[in-house]
Amino acid sequence: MTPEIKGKILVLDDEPQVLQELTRILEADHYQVSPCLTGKEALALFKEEDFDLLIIEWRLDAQDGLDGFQVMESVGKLDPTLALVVLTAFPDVDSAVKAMKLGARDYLKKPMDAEIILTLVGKLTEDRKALLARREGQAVFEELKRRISSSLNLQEVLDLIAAGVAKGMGVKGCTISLLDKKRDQLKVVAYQGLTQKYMEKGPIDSVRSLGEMIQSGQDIYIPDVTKDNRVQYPEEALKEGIASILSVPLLIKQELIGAMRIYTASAQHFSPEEFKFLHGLADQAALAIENARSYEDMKNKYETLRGDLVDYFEDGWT
Amino acid sequence: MSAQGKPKVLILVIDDEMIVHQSISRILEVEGYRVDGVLRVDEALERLKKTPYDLVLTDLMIPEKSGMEAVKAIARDYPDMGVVMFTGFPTVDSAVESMKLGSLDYLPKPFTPDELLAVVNRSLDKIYKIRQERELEDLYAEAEKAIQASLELKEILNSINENVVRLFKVKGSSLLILNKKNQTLQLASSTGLSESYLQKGILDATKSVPEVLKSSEPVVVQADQFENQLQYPEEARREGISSILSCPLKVQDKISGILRLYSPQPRSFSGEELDLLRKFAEQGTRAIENALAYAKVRDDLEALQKYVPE
Repeated sequence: MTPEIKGKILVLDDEPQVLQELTRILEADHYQVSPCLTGKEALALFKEEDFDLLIIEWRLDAQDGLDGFQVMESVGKLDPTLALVVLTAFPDVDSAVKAMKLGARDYLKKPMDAEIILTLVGKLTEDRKALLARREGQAVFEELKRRISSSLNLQEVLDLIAAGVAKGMGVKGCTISLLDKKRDQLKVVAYQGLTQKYMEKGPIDSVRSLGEMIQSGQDIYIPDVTKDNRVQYPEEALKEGIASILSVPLLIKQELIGAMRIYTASAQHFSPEEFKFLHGLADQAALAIENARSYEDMKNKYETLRGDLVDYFEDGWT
Repeated sequence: MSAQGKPKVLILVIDDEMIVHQSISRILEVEGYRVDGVLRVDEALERLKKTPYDLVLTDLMIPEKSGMEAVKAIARDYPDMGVVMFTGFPTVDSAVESMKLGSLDYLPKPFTPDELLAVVNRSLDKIYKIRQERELEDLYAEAEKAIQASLELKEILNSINENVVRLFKVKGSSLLILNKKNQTLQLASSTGLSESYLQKGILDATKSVPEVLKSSEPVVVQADQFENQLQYPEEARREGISSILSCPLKVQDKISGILRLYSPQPRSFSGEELDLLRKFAEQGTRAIENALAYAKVRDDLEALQKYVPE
């Protein structure tokens, strides 16, 4: 069985030996390599295919009039997520600064060191995969925001949020809980990725699990469910395969109406960017929930009244 | 970008030699920038806690703590602040390292006043752009929340206009509802426009920037196209309008109206700005639809309440 390709790399150098050596080193480590001798050739290929990385000599014997910087600028515009690395036999401060300003992730000198190149290439392809995954998550969130704001059906809104957050964050599960009128019971109103058995484990004491949040309106992060006394059902959580829980408040004008909880299967680090996104989404979710509730309240009043009137007239007529 | 009419540009220089502070200050103060100087990196990091500098210029080789540490700390802790490294001992390695850490540029010493100014101004432009993008992003998030924070139609319409004016920094905005039967555009709400301009006359959707309905995309009309594109070109000029951007209000390709932005200066809109406006108009349309659905149930309820016996 052939191992999976770790990434697709475009290599541009006007020295055929350099291309051969790079191709050999990278292919041995399971990268797919496309060697090019001219900028024109590289650009043409780049327009047709998707690459993870471009390794480029900035000083090219440019028969087609394109130097390495022009190529870097063009591909950077076509795909800002592409990783760029300069590998040069002509290192100098000016070209290094220029390359870095054009977005190069590194600037290496020839002769090449296979180990350094492979370590760097490994890191950059991983980084790019993570970046693309984040973008996809953001696209899921954008779509989710659009969908929750176009519905006034409360249960639909709640289910959309739970499913969208689990998918967009790439986590094990998500629940949405709302506070009851007396504000002492949190009731789970939608969940995704968790078993019914776990959801029916028992009533949640909101003072114990969310007391801090009600006071402060801040997130609560429990990195290890087995070592935290705010977790009411640690054994059940463990059995369910939950490692950590992040609770994000749902607020309307600074007042807590409920919580969005994110369950991960292993301890997870959320980046500031992810937190920002999650809070933006929580704010919109709270508004959508509130709107759907107001609409349903009004509708219920209408239907109750209509029922009463029907009864009244029927009784009146008989 | 000039400093005219804006708060003064603040620049901090880190170098262990006073003479360097003096020469940099002399060059940059001519531009109207305020330049402070410190001799050590730790001293600089203390200063940054109190003063919101726009740009920090740091030497590489400084006793006690290297300029590289300053670059690292600033890029990590102050995303709205720029940092540039300069050095009398330029090497490829330190250039690459400093820029990987977040230095916006790398300037070998000695430099001419023009070289320094070019690097400083380019770096300031970069940092202004980053700030602007962040500001727009935050404003947009607020705007999107604002229009969803209500189910009252009038409130939502006003909120759409006010937020669009704030987001795109224009003079005024109006919301026009498309009457499909007679193809007229009816004013539902506006901000920043005079009463006489609003009362100028009936708007015919097939004559007032007709391209919007045809393409179902945002369309910009500049002053020299007013005669061809507008029904009331004279009135627009009298109102002091130079550019008009019209964006369809649509959900799933169904156009229900037009959101119109009015700029007193001739103004073009970038692809990103148009994308943002499209997204905002779409969210606005959904908010309007929700408000209409809510109003309908409320009206139904009120109608029934009349039958409730005393």
